[in-house]
Amino acid sequence: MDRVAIAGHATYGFEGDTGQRSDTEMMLEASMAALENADVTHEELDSVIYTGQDTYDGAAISDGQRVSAAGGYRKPFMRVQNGGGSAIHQATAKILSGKADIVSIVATDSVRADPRKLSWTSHEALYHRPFGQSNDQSFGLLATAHQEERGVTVDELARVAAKNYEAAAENDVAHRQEAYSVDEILDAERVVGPLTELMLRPNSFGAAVCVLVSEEVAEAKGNARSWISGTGLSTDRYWYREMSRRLEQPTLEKAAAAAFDEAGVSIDDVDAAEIAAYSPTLELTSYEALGLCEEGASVSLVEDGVTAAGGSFPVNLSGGPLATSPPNAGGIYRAIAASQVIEGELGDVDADRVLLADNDMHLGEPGRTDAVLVLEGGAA
Amino acid sequence: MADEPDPSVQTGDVNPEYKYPFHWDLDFSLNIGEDNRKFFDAIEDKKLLGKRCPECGATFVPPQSVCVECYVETDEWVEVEQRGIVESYTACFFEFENLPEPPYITAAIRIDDSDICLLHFIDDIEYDDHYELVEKLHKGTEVEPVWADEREGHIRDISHWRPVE
Repeated sequence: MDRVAIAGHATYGFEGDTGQRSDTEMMLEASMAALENADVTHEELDSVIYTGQDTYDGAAISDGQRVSAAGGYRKPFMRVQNGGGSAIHQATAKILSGKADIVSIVATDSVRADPRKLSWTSHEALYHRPFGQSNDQSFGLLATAHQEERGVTVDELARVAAKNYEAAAENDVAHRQEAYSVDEILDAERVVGPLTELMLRPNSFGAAVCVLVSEEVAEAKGNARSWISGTGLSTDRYWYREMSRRLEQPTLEKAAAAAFDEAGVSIDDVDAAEIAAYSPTLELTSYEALGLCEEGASVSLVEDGVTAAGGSFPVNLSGGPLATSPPNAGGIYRAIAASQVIEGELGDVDADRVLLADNDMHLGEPGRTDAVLVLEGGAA
Repeated sequence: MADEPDPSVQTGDVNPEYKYPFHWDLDFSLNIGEDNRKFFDAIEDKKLLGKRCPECGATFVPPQSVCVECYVETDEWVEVEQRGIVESYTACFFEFENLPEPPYITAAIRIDDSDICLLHFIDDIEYDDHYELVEKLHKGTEVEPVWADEREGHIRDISHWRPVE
């Protein structure tokens, strides 16, 4: 079977502000750097996929305004709103189907909006929005269920966050680069239920671009940085049922199963992971959904340092979404981070195979789409 | 809240930091469909209705036009008991426009034997400290609706839910 490689990538940012740059300026800089990093020219680029959402773009049908900066004019240009993981899944499909050899996936974040209104625009209008249901509220409901049904304590949730901040402190690109202690995390401002501000992601601003190429191009140019050997997608229904089911993260489990099947591997063959966990609850339950441990045993993976930067299965060497979370560009950045782990550019780990678990939960947990990619090392 | 945009700033103004403020001021309307209309008509009369799947028998409150498990249209209306069970809840310490002063409780409530939950406020809880508020509820707490005096066919015709004594 033909393979798809990540041949180049670049970021701009990420910080709490854009540093006077506009979204198109940041995207242009990252896009040009990524093409150069991949050793491909704009003329060679077959197609561009933009990933973002209207509310975080500040404009509707906004890809039209970003075509030029993304290098997409007079080329097939597609917008995907489910996040960077889904966009990479679609780009991979496009290459494997023979529709393209070189695809660039781009995203940028520069719009600052009022969270008193914006954060609930993605929720259902009749039965959820009138009560302020938002992305943070949905994480709060899950965190409460996690405490009540699995006995997880707020201290344990804080230790998950502290583990991520410790990794982020070593990542030059991270937005939050301070190794916050457990006490600092617990003492931060309370937002929803047991979750404090430091147990929830910041809004990061910047841009991320990733260039995928076919195996044929990778062999000709010798530019493969990592290989995408498996992809999977799964979408949940939009409504609330048993919270225990949501804690099981069935869509993540299904997406991972599809990706593992395509790659011909299991979680036992994976060395590290980047997981889009927007709260500590989601990171712990992801360990279980991915098969890293049995249900209820995830806390011990953190307590024993298994998923820490120096552990046997590091999770979020980038610091994860708690450290860096651009709403539009987050998934692409996490894919870049996963590739960097394989390339030996992020963390001190010798990893041959890294899992990326992305989703669109920056918009809230109900109706989520999970995207899982298996990345591998090896020469073209 | 850090860096709140000022809604009074108009699109024509550029602030000293060269950020260009703008806002969307759009009214949307949504066709709520026959099922929701029937539910809200009933709620105005202080009744709670659900809809049942003809194949698996699952009841959905609020009503759903399709059973996702069976992928068939639901066809039987039932009036359900005005009791609910808290599936999960969270205290919000964050201020939203047009919502109660924080902290307030939002809960996923399973009404009667519904197969899905309804989100709503839970109030009438006595507490001293804000953080103590979240310890007053648990998964499985039984709650009942408190109806608004004036109703207009809206989900907030139920003012809130309260724990059953």
